[in-house]
Amino acid sequence: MSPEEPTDYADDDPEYAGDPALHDDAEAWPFAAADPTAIPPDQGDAGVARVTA
Amino acid sequence: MPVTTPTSAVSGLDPVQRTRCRDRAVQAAKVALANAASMSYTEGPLRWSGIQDHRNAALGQFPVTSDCSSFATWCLWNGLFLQFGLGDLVNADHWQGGYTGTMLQNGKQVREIANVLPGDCVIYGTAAPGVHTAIVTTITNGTPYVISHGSQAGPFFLVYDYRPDVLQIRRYI
Repeated sequence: MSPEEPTDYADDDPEYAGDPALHDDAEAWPFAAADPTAIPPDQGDAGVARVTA
Repeated sequence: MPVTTPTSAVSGLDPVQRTRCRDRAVQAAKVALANAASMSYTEGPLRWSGIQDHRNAALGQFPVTSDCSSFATWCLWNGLFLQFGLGDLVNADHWQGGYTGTMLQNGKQVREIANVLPGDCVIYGTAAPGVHTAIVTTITNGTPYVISHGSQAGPFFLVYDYRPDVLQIRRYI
């Protein structure tokens, strides 16, 4: 992509890519991931229901 | 050549501000997760109570009632608005409404998983306008994890592709 072209995607901008300070900080995260098969199904977005009703 | 600080094409924040903003959005999701038992999933107008009632996660506050998109928006509002006074970059509705459809119309898409950062939102569904969203809160070994509020039992902390219909990942910070 040339500098003149608009950036349509967040990851076209190299400043965003792979910021190490924001990656792999699991040690600081106190929660364990839930088992997706053990949670209730998502009910859906209320706004979607409204606009498609 | 003068040194310029790169600003985000999405929010206009500089890198230090963006980090603070992301931290604040993640803190909001974390406070909500810690108070899951006190939160209700609602599809009524009260789903925007977190923003309407100015619930500030930095003070330990969380939205008592919300759905998935109003929850993710509330998290981002904590960073974008409460910290930096920015307008509604998530739904373009003055922080008063929105859903996955407006979330798809705003921000910028992150195409590569390697570039996903905390504060980005995963939007689920097989096509626009999507059906569900969750906010990225941490990256572990290159895999994003989200906090998702999709049911009365939520929110939950989950791997980002806990459901198979990942439609897009978008950035608003």
